[in-house]
This record gives sequence, structure tokens and C-alpha cells, in this order.
Amino acid sequence: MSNGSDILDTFGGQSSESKFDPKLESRQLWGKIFAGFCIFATSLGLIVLMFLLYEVIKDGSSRLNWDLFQLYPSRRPLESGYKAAILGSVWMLAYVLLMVIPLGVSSAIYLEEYAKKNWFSELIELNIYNLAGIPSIIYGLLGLGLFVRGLYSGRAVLVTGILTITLLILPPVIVISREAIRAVPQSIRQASYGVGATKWQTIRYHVLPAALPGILTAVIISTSRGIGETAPIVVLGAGTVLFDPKATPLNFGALFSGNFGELFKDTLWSNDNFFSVLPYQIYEWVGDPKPEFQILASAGIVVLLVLVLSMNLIAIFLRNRAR
Amino acid sequence: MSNSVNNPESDSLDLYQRADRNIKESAIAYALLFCAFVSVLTTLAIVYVLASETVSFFGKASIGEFLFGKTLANGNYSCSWAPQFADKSFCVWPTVNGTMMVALIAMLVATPLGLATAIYLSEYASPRLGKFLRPVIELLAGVPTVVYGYFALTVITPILKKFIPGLDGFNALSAGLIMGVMIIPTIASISTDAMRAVPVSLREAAYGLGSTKKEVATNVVLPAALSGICAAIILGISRAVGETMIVAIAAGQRPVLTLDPRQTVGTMTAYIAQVAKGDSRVGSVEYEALFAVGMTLFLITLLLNIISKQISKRFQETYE
Repeated sequence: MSNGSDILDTFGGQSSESKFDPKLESRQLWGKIFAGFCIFATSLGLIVLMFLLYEVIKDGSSRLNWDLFQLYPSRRPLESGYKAAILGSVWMLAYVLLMVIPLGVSSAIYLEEYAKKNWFSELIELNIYNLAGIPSIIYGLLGLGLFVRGLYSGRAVLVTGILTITLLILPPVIVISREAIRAVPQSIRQASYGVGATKWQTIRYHVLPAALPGILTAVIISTSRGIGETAPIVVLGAGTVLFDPKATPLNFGALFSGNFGELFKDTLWSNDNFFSVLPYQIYEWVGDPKPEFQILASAGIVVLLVLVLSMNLIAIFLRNRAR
Repeated sequence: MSNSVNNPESDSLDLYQRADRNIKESAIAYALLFCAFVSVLTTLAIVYVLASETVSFFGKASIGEFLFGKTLANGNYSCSWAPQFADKSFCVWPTVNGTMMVALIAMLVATPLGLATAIYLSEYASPRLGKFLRPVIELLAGVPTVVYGYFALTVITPILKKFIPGLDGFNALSAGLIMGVMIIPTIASISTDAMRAVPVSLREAAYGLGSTKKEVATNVVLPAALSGICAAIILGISRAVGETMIVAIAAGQRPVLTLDPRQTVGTMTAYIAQVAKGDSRVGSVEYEALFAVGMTLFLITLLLNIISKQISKRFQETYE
């Protein structure tokens, strides 16, 4: 008991020998300043985002009309629009989803459910981690060397863009999908095995449905990043195009008339199917000295932000429902 | 398939189906393995494409000049990067200098703000508010970088020009500031996870000794989560080094050896974007220089990622 009162004396400052000074006021003041700084930092991002939205909507409002979606690029800014670029982005989005979902989810299933713990699976794992950290512009160089030069002898067509963006977003899709699969409780798998299901039946009918919201979140967030990418598309050598991209995988006219020699004529695979995407077209016009093109770029940014941010909101909504 | 399993009369049939089932099962396993292998092939292809062009680049330009510059005929030392001009020079440092300067400015913005955000999310915000705020902050990483570039060039640079005399139209400063905002979510997100992993008992002990909330956050939680924070910062640097569109739009395309953030600079990524946009002939030295710079960038980011991974793995504090 006597010890306790000693301590009380010391901390209460009643003992004249003690030099202990709690400095409560200044410490609490610093605490408040610090808390204020933390709140400022947290809200700064939001403030910047709002400011950015305000600026682009203000700048681009005069061009935010239906013409934007119906006109092709032109030297005259008032007769220019994003039709070819928006169609390019939409088709790219569709085909990238078509490729990245099976590839990404299969890889995630393999690594989470099948891979044994050995050097080989560790190699794949390390490799995917490192791929996720490689700058997007390096994927552009990969696409340039492999697809544009290798497959299409120097022509930057829509397929090369789709393949490049698919490879770019595959690692993050795999990483986040794996987390979703890992979060499925082991008991669900054991119950499925218990009634005699095979491994694949267990995965197909129990693990995948349970992990689906998480996997969809991964796919949507990563694809929205891929659609907003400009750097790899610039490196591939895309340019301004004045026609709609061809996007059918087969020439159905030739298929139905039995003219099989022209089955791939004027399709996605054609070597004259040059393309542009929305962020690339914005980049072209940002760099133009005419102020009317800056307005056009702002209007394009509004469209791009609506596309990308709404994909992100869908993903957040899915993730919150999954939890 | 399940019917026959339940049927005792079709024993032999059942066995066949089981064999089928096994074949199907292992076929699926191999198909999945193939998909996982695509990522390994991607890495091999990246290394092959970069290495083959880099090798032929060094057949035309000397590796000594690439790394150390050259001595001109008049005896002066020169280190400049201009493979696309008639009078070619191949010293890579001006582009590396541009990259490092913009990345440094970006990290000076992103590190304090990202950490403060992480502290707010893990120490101050209620779980409900945190659950709402986190995705909102991550939205910042979802904004396409061409948009940030446009914002830096047309909004931030004119504002800065009012305060800073001698600011170029394209400059490292505004590109770096906006890049910092872009990197905040990377640092905040990983650091928040690291801070939340610090056990509550450590905080309670500190409160028990009479610490204020700020002291708990900075003197207990921050040091305890240091490995995760370091990994986050290094990952942020790697993002900054590899970022292309912000610098290509707002920082300019003139690789110079300067430490003045008001000047126009040229980063490695901006150089790649600039030259790839103009049509350079395959086999020409400027085409191959593209890949040599790409290889340098690839090695720098790979190194940073490996260090980040090692730090978070090796120095991970485990609390029981």
C-alpha cells in the first residue's frame, strides 16, 4: 500500500523532489494536431478527386453531347469525336474479359487447390508476384516485340492490344482471385468430399460459387485498370483511326454463303484492323496545342472516368455484399 | 453418373465410370496447370524480347557509354541521351535522373500522407467509417493515369506558376506532386493492413502507461508495423519509377542531368512512350534503344519488388 501512495505522490507532482512533468496539455495539443493531420491526409485524396472531376466537367461541358459518340477524329476540333476510340475500348473490354476470366480463375484454382508445395509451385507464385509489379509500359514493349512485330509484322491491330492488356491484368486477377478462393472455409470442401464428390466437382459446385463475388471483384477492378491504360497502347503503336474497329471473330457472311476462303476477311483478326482506345485518343488530344482539343480531351476524360469509376463502384458493391 | 454409383447391379460399369472420372479429373488438373503456366511464359517472353533487342543495341552502342558517358573529341566529358538524333549519344543517366527526381517528389508527398491515412484508418476511424473510407481511397488508384497527367498539366502547373517563378510549362514538380497523390492508396492500403496486424495488447499496455492516442500511434503502432510500412514504401517507389502517362504529359520529354524540379525533364518511361509513338524502323538503333531503356527500367522495378517482398517476409514481426 505504501508503494501505491508513493507512486501517487510522484505522479501527482505533490512530492517536491520529483522532476516528473506529465506535460499533459502540450501532449494533448500535439495529439489533436496529429489527429487533424491524419484526417486531412485521409480526405485529401477525396478532395483532389472532387477537384479533378469539377475541372474536367467544367472544361469539357461544352462538348459533352451526343456528337462526342458519333464523330470520328478530325483535324477540325469541332468536328471530332470519340466514336472509333469508344468502340475500340468497348470491344477491348469484352474480349479482355473473355480471355482473362478463364485464364485468371483457372490459374488461381490451380495454385490454391491443386499445386503441391514444391519448388515449381513456388516458382509460379513468385513469378506472378513479380509480374504484378512490372510497369505497364514494359508490357507494351512485350506486345510490340511479340504480337505487333511477331504476329502482325509491325501492324498495331486490335488483337495485339487485347492480348497485351490481357497479359497485363492477368497477374492481379490471379492474386486477388486466390485470396477469394482461400477465404472459402475448409469445412465446405470436406462436406463435399464426404458425400463422395471428386475434387473438380467440389471446386465446380461448392468452392467457386462461394468465391464468386470475390473473383468478380478481382476481375472488374483489374479490367477497369486495363481499360484505363494508355502507356502500353502508345508503345504498341496505335494511332488515330477514322473507322470502327472490326470485332466479329468470323466473317458470318462468308460462313453462310459457303465462301470459306474468306472466313476471316474483315474480322477481328484482319491485319488492317487498326484501333484506338479512349485513353489513347485523350492522350493524343491533350498533346495538341489548340485549346479546342483540350476541351475535347476534357470531355473524353469525363466519359472515361464514368466508365472506370462505375466499374469500380460495382466491384466495391460486390465486395461489401460478399462480406 | 451418380445414379450408377448408387446402383449395386452395375459394378463393372461403375468401375469404367470411375476410370473415366479419373481421366477427366486429371485432364482438368493439367488444363489448370497450363493456365497457370501462361504467366511463366509471359515472364520468359518479356525477358526474351527485352534481352534480344538490348543485345543488338549494345552491338551498335558501347555499354561503357551507356553507363559512364563518353569523352568528346575536344576532351570534354559528355553524358547525354539522344539516340534519335543524327549526332547520337547513349548515356542513360539523364533519363534515370529524370525518373528518380519525379519519383522522389512523389514519395515526399505520398509517404507522409499515405502513412497518416493508414494511421487514421487503423487507429482513429470507427470500423464502419473505415469500411466506407478504404474503397474510396482506393478509387484514387483506379483513376487512369492519363487523367492525372492532364490534371497536372492543365490545373496544377498553372497554379504552381503563380507561386514559383521560373517554372517550365512541363516540369518535374507538378508531375511528381500528382504522382504522389496517385501513390497514396498503395502506401495507405498496405500500411493499414500492417498496423491492424499489431496486437491490441501492445496498444493497451501503452495506454496503461498513460500515453495519448497520438503517442500510441507513433511510438508503438508505427514501429511495430515498420516492416510492412517499408515494404509499402518500396512498392510505392516501384510504382513511381514505372509510371508513364503523368510524366509523359506533364514532365516533358527532355532528358537532362538536373536537380532542379522546376525544369523540364525526361524519364525512362517518357522516352519509351515518345519514341514508340513516332514510327522508328525495326533494327534501327533508336528502336533498339527503346528496349535497352526498357530493360533498365525492368531491372530497377524488379529489384525494388524483390526487396519489398524480402522485407515483408523476413522482418515480419509475429506476435503470439
